[in-house]
Amino acid sequence: MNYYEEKGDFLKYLRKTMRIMRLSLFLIVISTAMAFSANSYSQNTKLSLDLNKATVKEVLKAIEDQSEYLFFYQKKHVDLNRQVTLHVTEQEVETILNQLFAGTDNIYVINDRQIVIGVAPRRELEKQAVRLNVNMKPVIDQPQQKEITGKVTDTDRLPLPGVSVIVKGTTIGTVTNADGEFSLNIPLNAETLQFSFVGMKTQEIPIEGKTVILVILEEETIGLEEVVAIGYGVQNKRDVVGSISKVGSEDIAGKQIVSFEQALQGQAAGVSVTQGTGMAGSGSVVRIRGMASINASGDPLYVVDGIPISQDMFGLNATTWGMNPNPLSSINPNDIESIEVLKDAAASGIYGSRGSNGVIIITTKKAKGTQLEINFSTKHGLSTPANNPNVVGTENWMQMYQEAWENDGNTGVPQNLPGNLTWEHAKLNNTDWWKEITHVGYKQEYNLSASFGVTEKLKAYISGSYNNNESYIKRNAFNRYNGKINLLYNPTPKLTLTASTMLANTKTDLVGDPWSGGTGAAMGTALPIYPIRNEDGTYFKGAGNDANPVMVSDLMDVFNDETRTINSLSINYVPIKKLSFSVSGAIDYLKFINDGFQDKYLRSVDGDYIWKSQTNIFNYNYSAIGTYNTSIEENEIVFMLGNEMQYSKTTGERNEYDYDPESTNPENLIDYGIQEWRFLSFFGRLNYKYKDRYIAQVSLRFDGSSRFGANNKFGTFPTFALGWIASEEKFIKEIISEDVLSFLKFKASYGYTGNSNIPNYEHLGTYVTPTNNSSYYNNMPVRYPSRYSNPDLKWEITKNLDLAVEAQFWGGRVAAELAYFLKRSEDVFINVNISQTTGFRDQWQNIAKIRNEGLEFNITTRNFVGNSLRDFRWTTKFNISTIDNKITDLGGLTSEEIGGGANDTRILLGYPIGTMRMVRFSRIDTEDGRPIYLDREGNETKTYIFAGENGYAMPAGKLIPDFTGGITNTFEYKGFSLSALFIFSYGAKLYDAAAKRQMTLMSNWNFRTDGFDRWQKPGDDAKYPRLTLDGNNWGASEQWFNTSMWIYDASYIRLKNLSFSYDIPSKFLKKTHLSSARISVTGTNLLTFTNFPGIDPEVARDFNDARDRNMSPNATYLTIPQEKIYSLDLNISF
Amino acid sequence: MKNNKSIILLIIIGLLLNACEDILEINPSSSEEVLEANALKTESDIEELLNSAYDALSGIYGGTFQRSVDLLGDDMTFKPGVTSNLVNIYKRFSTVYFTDHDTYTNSYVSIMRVNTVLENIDNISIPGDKKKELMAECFFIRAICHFALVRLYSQPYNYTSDNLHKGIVLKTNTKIELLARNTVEEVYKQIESDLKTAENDLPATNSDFARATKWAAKAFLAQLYFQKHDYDNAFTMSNDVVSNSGLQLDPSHYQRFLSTSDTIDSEIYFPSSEALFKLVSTPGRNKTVGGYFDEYKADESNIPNIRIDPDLYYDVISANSQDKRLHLWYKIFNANQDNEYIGCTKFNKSFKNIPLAYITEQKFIRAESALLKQSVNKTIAIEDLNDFRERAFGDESRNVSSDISEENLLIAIHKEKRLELICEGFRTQDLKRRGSGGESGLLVRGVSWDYPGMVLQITASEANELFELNEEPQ
Repeated sequence: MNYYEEKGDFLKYLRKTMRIMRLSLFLIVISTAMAFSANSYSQNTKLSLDLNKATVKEVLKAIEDQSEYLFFYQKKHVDLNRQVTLHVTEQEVETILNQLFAGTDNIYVINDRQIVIGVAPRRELEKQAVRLNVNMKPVIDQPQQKEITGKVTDTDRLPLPGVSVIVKGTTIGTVTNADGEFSLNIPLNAETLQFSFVGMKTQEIPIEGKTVILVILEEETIGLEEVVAIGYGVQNKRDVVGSISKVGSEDIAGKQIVSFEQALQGQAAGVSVTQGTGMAGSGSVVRIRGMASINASGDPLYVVDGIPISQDMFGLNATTWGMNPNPLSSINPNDIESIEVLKDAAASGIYGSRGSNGVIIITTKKAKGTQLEINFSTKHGLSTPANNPNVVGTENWMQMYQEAWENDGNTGVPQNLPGNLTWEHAKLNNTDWWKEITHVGYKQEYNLSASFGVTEKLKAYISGSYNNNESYIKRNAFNRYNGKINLLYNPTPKLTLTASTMLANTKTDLVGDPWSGGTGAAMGTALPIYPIRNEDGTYFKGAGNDANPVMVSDLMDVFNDETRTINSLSINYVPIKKLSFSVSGAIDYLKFINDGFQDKYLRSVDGDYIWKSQTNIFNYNYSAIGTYNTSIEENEIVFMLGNEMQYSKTTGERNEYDYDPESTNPENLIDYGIQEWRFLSFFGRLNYKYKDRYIAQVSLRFDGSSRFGANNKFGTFPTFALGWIASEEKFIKEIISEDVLSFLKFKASYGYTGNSNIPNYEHLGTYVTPTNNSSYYNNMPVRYPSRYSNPDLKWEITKNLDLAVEAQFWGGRVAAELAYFLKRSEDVFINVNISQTTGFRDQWQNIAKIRNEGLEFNITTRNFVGNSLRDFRWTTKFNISTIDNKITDLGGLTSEEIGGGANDTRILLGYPIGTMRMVRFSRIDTEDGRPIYLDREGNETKTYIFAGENGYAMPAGKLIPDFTGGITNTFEYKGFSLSALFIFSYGAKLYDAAAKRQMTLMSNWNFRTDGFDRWQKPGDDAKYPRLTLDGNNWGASEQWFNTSMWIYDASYIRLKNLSFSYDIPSKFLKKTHLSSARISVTGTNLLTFTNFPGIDPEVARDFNDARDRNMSPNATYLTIPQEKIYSLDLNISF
Repeated sequence: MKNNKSIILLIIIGLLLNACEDILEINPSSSEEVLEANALKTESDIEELLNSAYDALSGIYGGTFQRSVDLLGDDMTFKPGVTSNLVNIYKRFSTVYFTDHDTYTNSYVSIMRVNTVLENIDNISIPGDKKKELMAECFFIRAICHFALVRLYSQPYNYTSDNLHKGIVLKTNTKIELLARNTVEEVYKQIESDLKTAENDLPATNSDFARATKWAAKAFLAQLYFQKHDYDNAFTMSNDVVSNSGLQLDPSHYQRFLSTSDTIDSEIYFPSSEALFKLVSTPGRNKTVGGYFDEYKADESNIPNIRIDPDLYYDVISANSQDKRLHLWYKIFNANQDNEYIGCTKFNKSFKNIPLAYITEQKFIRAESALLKQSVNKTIAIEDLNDFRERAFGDESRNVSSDISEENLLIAIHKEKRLELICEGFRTQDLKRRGSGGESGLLVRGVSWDYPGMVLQITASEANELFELNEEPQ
């Protein structure tokens, strides 16, 4: 017999024990499956004991003496000196052990004759009587044998004790010892050895004359033992009643991403992530379970290691410069252990007035143990556009200009060309502006991290990284330096101190706004007939600055520079086992600078122009949480009570001046003022479980905020949830064999969450007392009312209903979850355009109601599992979610009172948020080539009347997709791995606001080849109207009017990520001191399947306004395409 | 028990914190923002608020009102190819999106500010006379804002015989509420009543006519009566102003918009001294009014969007090359080329004052009213007309003689007013007045004076169940 403690090597066995603890949860699920197996040793072996006040150690020894059982355990986990009295007659060993360990933390696993005793990792498991019987007969000695020896380890190369080793097809076998070693006499004709262990995939190894066999067993994870962050605590996935999607570090590491939220794309049902443009460092638009806000930000709450961090890009006082700035990009994705997305009330309700948009919990990496582990990874990539714009060259452009000229009734050579060029002069140039502003961008990234123990009690995780991420746009790059330290100190077993600090600097080199001489000009106002430079070498300015993106790029230098540090300290105290307290404090500081230089050549005055805008955000957070857990017989209770306060202060200023190198430059400071807000919250959660299968959870949060009006200072957010693990029920097992249905859980929850993403002070009546000189009138200072008070202002409230079922089949070969949700949002903020007769323009009021309803489905199938790591394996992960979004109440407000988003996206009662309301286009008149519209009744007309009672503007398309999702297929074979992620979006419409300028109406804009399909002569059945130089020919008095002609189907399927990697086998690594090495090639956005004729259907347009981000994220306007990236990654560990 | 104590402790801590709801009261800490409750404590606070109402007037009468009115009329053309709401106004097809939002919004901003003064002035200790004066200034501002609104967004007085047609919303308090439009009759009544109070209580001089005076109130009453065809009262008021205010016609037209003295060819021009009420720029503080007139600005640096109708220029304005106004107020660009245009240079100066009521304009009211009132006073009409002509031509060569027929005299006054006050927002109002007064055959750039497009549409956000928008032309 082998007692672990006799080895005395604590560290060596700590990891084993940890694994056993984890495995024990797994066993809960599969044990019952095995329970019906007949003829097991344990069922056939009856024991009798008669012991008075014997120690546990003595009891175990008595059992071993009476039977062939062997006990494995770690001394620190089993109180061997505890005295018990046992009187049993002819009982199975389980009965005895259940009595022996009643009321303790201990659980046990019976693996034929081996019994491993461990500790339940969580209280819920306390009562578990776990057993496993392997169908195997006693070993019978046979003649003509040979000896075979070997060792079994896990994937971390740690020895596995207690592994069954049998000769396939026989009853001959043994188990591995504490060092994972075995020795077995087998018949000469034996062909295959079978290795099995609970929680591990069974492996079969051909003997083929070998006498020494080394085996690596791989864990058979089905996820239920996973620990999930639930907000102010953790829980086993099995017991979770909320709707939570988890993305682990392995899903983050394999992607060429800059910011972690990109890793969520296509990974989690109900989580919509639209990456920003191809600009380096561009932020994404993240929406969880639809959109429930109009004017308030729809962004989720981000919580990093318990700290709600500053993430509002609108608070940065930055113009967008063609991309959404991204405060989240300071965080190095490589430092993230896991991301949990809390979606329903049962999950996000604990965040009260900030939970409505969902909560994204980021858990960063911590020290794993005291052993030194070093990881280094580097990525090198090349960036090109996912798709190139299809603008035409000089010949085509001039040809079409001529055609338009003639269509308009003119003759001869067109006059008044844009840029003041003559027809002959224009012919001489043919500038490919897109080519001029793009190149192949080079991306490089280096990460180094170490996890180690300074002393037994002090453990550390340290990491540093550098990222230099060029996009395919010249002079556009994202740079990041990031360092992180996590310290874990256990002075006593009852006390844990955690200190964490992160310091990062990101710098994004920007190019001009797309519409003002930046990237977009290369698809719009920069015509091929323009030269880059004049004959004298100066830049061509004949068509204005906006029409020479090369000049703007060269003569303007703009960058965002963000320095960020997130620091936290927390103390966790466990006075007694059932009770724990945790107090933590954090400071999250962000300094954001937008700095720019404009050469005087771009200006009408003589002198360069310089500006520097700085914004500082201090975000202080404090929380105190108490958790009490207990169990009374089959009732398990966890009770959590907490208090949290957050305070944020934003300051900033801008300095801008005409730069004169020969004099002291004047300061022209504009103070952004101070923005402060505070949340004070009290919350509690009660989790109750009965018989390990009936679960109930209640949570309640009181949130007070400085943003709420005097009459509504505190909000109450209750939630209630039920869960039923039906697969535990006997009658279910009788209906479906557990071999087929391994796990089945039903969940239902209902509760309130809120959204308080509104500007500060909106409830207060205020006066402005401006002090700058030009605000004086007639030499007198002025003051005037700027806002009138709204003491009733409060949070948006969402009433969430969630029904879900989780199931696993064939021992986890198939795991699926189906959820239905209904979110009814009320008191939705509208910044109402109040009657202007009041002298005020607008006010934030709680008015609208929005309904989001949808289905989410995700499934993971292990199509081929093989027997070992080196066998062919194939796993498929698929998720899909539908969303039905509808505005159900606008409090009687008209669309006009609410105001529109960009490009006529609207808030319309009974329609989804951001419905495009336009005059509907019917067809092109085949006779004269003019567009025919539809009036309100649907009759064809050539008159264009937009608004008013007689206007023809009607709902013409929605930007929210019907469904979105992703599918990942991973193939593995002999250390090679191929993984492909496709994302898809169906049913969204996209308004291409640039198309109306790029096609058929010839102006000072370039033309797109898809506009070639135009009417040219009577009888033509064309997609677009006749070319003209005057929009009046199309029936409207304005040139640039919106019609549904420019609404396109934005459905697409995109190969978001394709990764091919190779794990270098350990035999090659032995000499190098490396414990693992992986090399991979990754492709991003390699393929796109879409009917969208523009550049890129995946659009998250940059907006300076939260409402526009809700209403028109995919009203594209020269939005530059996403990047196609090829990268080579190397990842090594010591 | 120990556990329970801990929980109780937590709850107590929570309750204690709960009691401190104060920490959730965060007020703006900007030095340029104060809470409503602290905003109006002293007389100077009230003065500052009133001053902000004057300031807001430049968002109405600083060019938006005038140019909108002129664009509807027959003096202007618009730069081809430009797309803006001004094009819609010029095409007499303003819509809820493409209209003059500024005049509408800013009028009510100014009105809200004076109503706030009126509602709060009793809470502050101010000497009785001073208080009366400040209140009178408020009535004055409120009146001229309502007056701008009703002229731009409603059909004119006499469009219907009882004047019960749609006017604009009269706002006489600061309540936040939806209101229906008042009738034109009600609006004119309210304006008259506000101006009458102002006339009574205002001083004869105030801040060099940058703030309201008795004479300013009278001048606007003259405009109001004139517009509602009440020529007797219009004559009385304008005659009072011209005769008794003590102000005289400026010697030169060039003075009208000056905010500081200017020298041309060693001759010094002082800012106008005939203004009864004006919006003022303060160059020393880099403060300008009248920026909305930049649409007319015609110099080498700026190609104007709004231009003088070439026919008008060649047939009428430049008919007499001796007219001093010709060189002062007009410039031809790209002469004799396809892209020739005539710019109005009246508003070229960056820092200008904008007179809203002044002797020149009052004399035109007096002259015309003298002919239209019950007992015609031809002498004074001729006298006023000749004053303008003598100033424009430098001598009496173009004066009319006393034997001119009344009919021709009226035509001459109309023409002279058009030339004298061009681009200042009077012409179209006069055409509407004449049309609604029954003048037959009157066309405004091809449409009738009461064509729906001659009235501006009101901004989209105003539409509600109480508020009826204007009719849009088909």
